[in-house]
Amino acid sequence: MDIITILFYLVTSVIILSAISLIIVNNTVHAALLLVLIFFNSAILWLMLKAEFLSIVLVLVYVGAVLVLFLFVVMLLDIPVRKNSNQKLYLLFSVVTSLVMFAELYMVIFYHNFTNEVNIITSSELNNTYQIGLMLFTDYIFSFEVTAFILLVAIIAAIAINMTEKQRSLRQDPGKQILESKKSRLRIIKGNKL
Amino acid sequence: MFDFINNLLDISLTYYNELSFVSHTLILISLIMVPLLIIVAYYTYAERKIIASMQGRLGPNVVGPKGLLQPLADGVKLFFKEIVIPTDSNKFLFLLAPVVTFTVAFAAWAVIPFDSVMVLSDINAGLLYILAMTSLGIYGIIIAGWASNSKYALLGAMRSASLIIAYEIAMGFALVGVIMASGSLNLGDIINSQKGSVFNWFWVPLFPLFIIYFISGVAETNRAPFDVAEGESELVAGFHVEYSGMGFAVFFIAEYANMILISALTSILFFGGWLSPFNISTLGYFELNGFVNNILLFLINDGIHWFIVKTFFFMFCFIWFRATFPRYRYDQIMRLGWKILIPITLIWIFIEMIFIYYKVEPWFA
Repeated sequence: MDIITILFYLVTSVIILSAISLIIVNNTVHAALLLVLIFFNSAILWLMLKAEFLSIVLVLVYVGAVLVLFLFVVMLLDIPVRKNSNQKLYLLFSVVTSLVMFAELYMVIFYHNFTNEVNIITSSELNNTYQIGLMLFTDYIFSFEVTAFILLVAIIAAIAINMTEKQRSLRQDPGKQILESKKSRLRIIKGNKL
Repeated sequence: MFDFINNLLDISLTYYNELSFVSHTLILISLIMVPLLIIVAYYTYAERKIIASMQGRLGPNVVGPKGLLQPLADGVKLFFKEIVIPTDSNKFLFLLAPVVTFTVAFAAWAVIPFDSVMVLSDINAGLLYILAMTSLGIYGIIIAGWASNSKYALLGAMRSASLIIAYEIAMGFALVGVIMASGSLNLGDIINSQKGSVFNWFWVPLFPLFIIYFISGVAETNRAPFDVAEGESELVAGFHVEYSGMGFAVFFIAEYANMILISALTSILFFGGWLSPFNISTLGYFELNGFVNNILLFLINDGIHWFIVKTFFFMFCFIWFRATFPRYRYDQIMRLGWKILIPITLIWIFIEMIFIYYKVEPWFA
């Protein structure tokens, strides 16, 4: 067997096993860390497909930023471990959802002709990063800019939601702190009155 | 028995190429790791000596001549100490955290070019890889803080996480400036695009970004004046308060390796890495006898020694900061990161865009 094939089976089995245990574990922090493992192995999978830019960006964005915030929230909230009371209902929903997803994936993979559509540039002179940049800023410029705009709106919305809390919270005014001087804080009392 | 050995030989012959590649890489990795660990050991010694002399003390001077064997003594002491695992802590994650921190701190060194040819892995997305690896360092801290089952450790981890998230953005934008100036993500190409003399290096056109990068680097490594994660006076020792013996030592080594990494990256991205500050062609020839002339030529030419000198200078700056500045308050750190550093980087990227558009000599020609 080729060494790449062995690596592929190793990585995919880690992904599948950790995905299953991600659903099973009760501890939310463990679940978040298993998600880190899944993303990491997916990055290795992409690296094996010679998509180095995408794989490193996956690690940088999802593992390095998004999941850190996940962990942050999960640790601060301290969600108690408890058993679900209506497990049968959950089981029904999960079985239905997974069957639908399986059917969709099956149809996408087996009833779709991939060969003629995707126009991949495979020249070795241009590197992966350059090719992606070229595609994003020429063929897909419209969708790229729309995505950027949606993200900007989301950022502004998040800040706006936070701003309404301002009245209730106590916070320091840095301007006041900087302007504070010795004169306004200290008063020297003269005489023998003490 | 004979069959078994025969089979083993067969397997090793089929994978001969892979095996030789792996062993070759392992040797190269150890060639980077071993000097790095020695430098880390003596960096701690240098820190104690330098801070001592800045504060008018003697520093370590008992073990060995001038205290030179102090790092070894410290290592032996930590190695033989008992590893205490706190009650009700998560044992697996508690032991995993130092491993994660250590691995990530050393993994980033894979793409650092020490010389024009001396680089372990010359990948195209080198800078991106480094950014990804430094952003992973936070996991060790968060896991350690949570798994310790201690309030101090958890608070330290939370402080550290929010600090790293804040300063990573400023750091990323500073790196965007470097990528725009050099037009490449490959570290070797970034250095080559700074060729010329000391004024061709990127610290001149990207001066604000250089300052911000170094400040963010100090913050990312949790060093003074940004060491709220440890905050001895408030949190005892922060996220690694429950660690003893080798667990603590591994965190310690990783922190110092990260400091060296930030210094090396600053010298690569803004100070031309292994490039010499002199322009050889304008200096003319030396009228000295053969041997001395050769040595001088070697010293002024590009080479690993310039990279080491520059890196050591920034490593000294880390210690200097620690001896000079008092610790920031937590809210001041957040304000500095979000409201001062990030806006400056955004503005300077815009100015740099104008530079590039009008092809300002000699950096954007």
